[in-house]
Amino acid sequence: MHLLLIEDDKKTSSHVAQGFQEKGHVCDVVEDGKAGLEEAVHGSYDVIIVDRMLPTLDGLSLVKALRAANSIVPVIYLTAIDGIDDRVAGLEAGADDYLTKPFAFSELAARVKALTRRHAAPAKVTTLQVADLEMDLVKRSVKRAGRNIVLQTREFLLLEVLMRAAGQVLTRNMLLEQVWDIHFDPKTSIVETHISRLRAKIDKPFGEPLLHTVRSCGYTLRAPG
Amino acid sequence: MRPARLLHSTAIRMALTYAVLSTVSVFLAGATASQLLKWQLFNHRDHDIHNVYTALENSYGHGGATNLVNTLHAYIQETLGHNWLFIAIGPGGQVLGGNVHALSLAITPGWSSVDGAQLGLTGGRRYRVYSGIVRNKVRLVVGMKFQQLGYLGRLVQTSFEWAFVVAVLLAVVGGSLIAHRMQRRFDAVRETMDRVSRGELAARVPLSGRNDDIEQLSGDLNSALDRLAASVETMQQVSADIAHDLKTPLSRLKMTIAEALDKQERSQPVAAELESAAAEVDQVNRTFNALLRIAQIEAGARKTAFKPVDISALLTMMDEVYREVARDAGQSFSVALPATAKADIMGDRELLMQMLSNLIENSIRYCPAGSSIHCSATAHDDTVRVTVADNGPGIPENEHERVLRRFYRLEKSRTSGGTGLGLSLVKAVADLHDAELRLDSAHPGLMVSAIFARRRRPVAT
Repeated sequence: MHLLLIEDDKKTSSHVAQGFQEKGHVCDVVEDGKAGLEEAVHGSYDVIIVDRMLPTLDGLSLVKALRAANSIVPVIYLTAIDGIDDRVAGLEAGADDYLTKPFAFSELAARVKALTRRHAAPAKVTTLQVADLEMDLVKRSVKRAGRNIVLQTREFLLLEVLMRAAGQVLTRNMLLEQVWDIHFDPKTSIVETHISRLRAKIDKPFGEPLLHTVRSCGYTLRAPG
Repeated sequence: MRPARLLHSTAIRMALTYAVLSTVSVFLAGATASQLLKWQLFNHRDHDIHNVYTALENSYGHGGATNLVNTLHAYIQETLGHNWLFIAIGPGGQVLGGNVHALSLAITPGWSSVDGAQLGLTGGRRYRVYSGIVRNKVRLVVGMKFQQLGYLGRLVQTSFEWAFVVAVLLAVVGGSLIAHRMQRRFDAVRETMDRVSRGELAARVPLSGRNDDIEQLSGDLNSALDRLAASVETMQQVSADIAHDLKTPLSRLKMTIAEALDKQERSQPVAAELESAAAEVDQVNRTFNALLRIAQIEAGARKTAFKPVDISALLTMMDEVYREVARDAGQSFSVALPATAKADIMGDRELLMQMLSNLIENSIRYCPAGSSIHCSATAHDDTVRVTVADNGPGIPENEHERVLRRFYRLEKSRTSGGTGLGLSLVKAVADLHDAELRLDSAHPGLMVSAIFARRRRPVAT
């Protein structure tokens, strides 16, 4: 993957760039908004990571200008404050995702991965499959090893989100946003509770587990082996 | 006031404009009226001249030219020769009679204006004359001196002159009175804004009680100042709160790091210290976010994005999210939806969700296993009441007011790791929605209700 990071804080940018390089990606760093926009428009990147507050051109205007230049490259925002309006404004300006500072690198990496997947994913699918776990999106039914599994509405959505991102890590916050539309930090273990319920239904009776916990990061659903 | 400032005053400018305009209009009215009068008088004079001419012409009919000349002399006698001129000239060019003796050939038949000199008269006056040929024999000229407007004209002129003077005086005096009064009110506004900009946020524009636009402007300014003062107060409160509640975890963090450095020097593992430092930082960050979020909600900007929110759907969502979480904590969780059709309110779905989450999570955290948590919404004619109740330890009645304040925690829950901001966020969201927030004892337990205004659905057509 070829990434562009537009970030003026050197410590953050070197931390992020190093993280991606260790994962085998190329991460270019630009420190100010105008140069960043120039690079974003003319370079060919898979994902662009933009800090909200930048010298010469702020992140919001940068993304607006980028979208005005007909670029469809996925953009993820880094915002310093978790303002509700900031998030909405950021997404309205054309960004695809946002992440609040301070953030864990694993969270950023998971979101960047999800963005590239989202952009590459086929537009319409009616069935999802991971190993012997099948989901029919039209009939709203789930089977594993040919046996029907009854799921509640939210459990179904949780499993759908996990299956669509099969093989990649989804963080706790990503699940909260995508499954429950919760954009704040709950004080109870909502995600853990629902994951364990889901596990009891899709994994426990079948021996081979598909749903795995990624320590201090999130969850992933993947075929064994 | 200095002259420079005088000219920059809207009130003075308006007064001056008013004065100039009213002066010009009085002047124009006067000019028009005197012109009309003149025109009327001139018409009248022409009419008079023609009448005399016709009378003389008619007098010819009976006794020939002699009769005409006699009548003519009678007219001269009557007018004593003042202002009027008459002349009758025979076919041979001889003067038959009249009070002038020379007649310039320049006088054409019909109406004309001639100089007295052309008629052999001194004084340089001009005359209005009518000239014609009576019975193809006698040339008859009747004329009248051009005069200044008569007595009537002078009267009109004089009265308009006076009116002009009075109008100018009124405009100047009235205009400056109005200007002065307006200036005083503007000065009051300016003075208030001056005081505000010097930091006196409590200053307000004095209201006069008149129901006019300046009063409305002052009212608007005052409510803007109210909002400003409130948000500044919030800011100050937030800073004080941050200082109050972040210093403790920050100093703990510093101690943990010092400990880790110590251990590092002695080549001992520091993983535990680093983990506890990371947890401390997370806590600081959570507190920060909660504070900023409350401040943002209190600033009220979200109100513009209010949309209809279906309370039943929201509670169903809460049921899906928390039923299992509560069960894991050994508690039971139930939701009762309003019996009637959808109960909608106008609001911010995300914030309402966070408000309910905070209330439910508080119950889950502070109630022992075996407790039950019950959420309900009831729709009344004008209101929708949303309630979260539990049968846990509750909050003593005398603390009900205080728990809504930032960072207020019951002593016994000090150590439970919350930010102490959960209920203040609930309060902030309720306030944003103009909802009444009530804490009641559920005997045992706590019952928190928010009473929202019910949204009127448009009548289906």
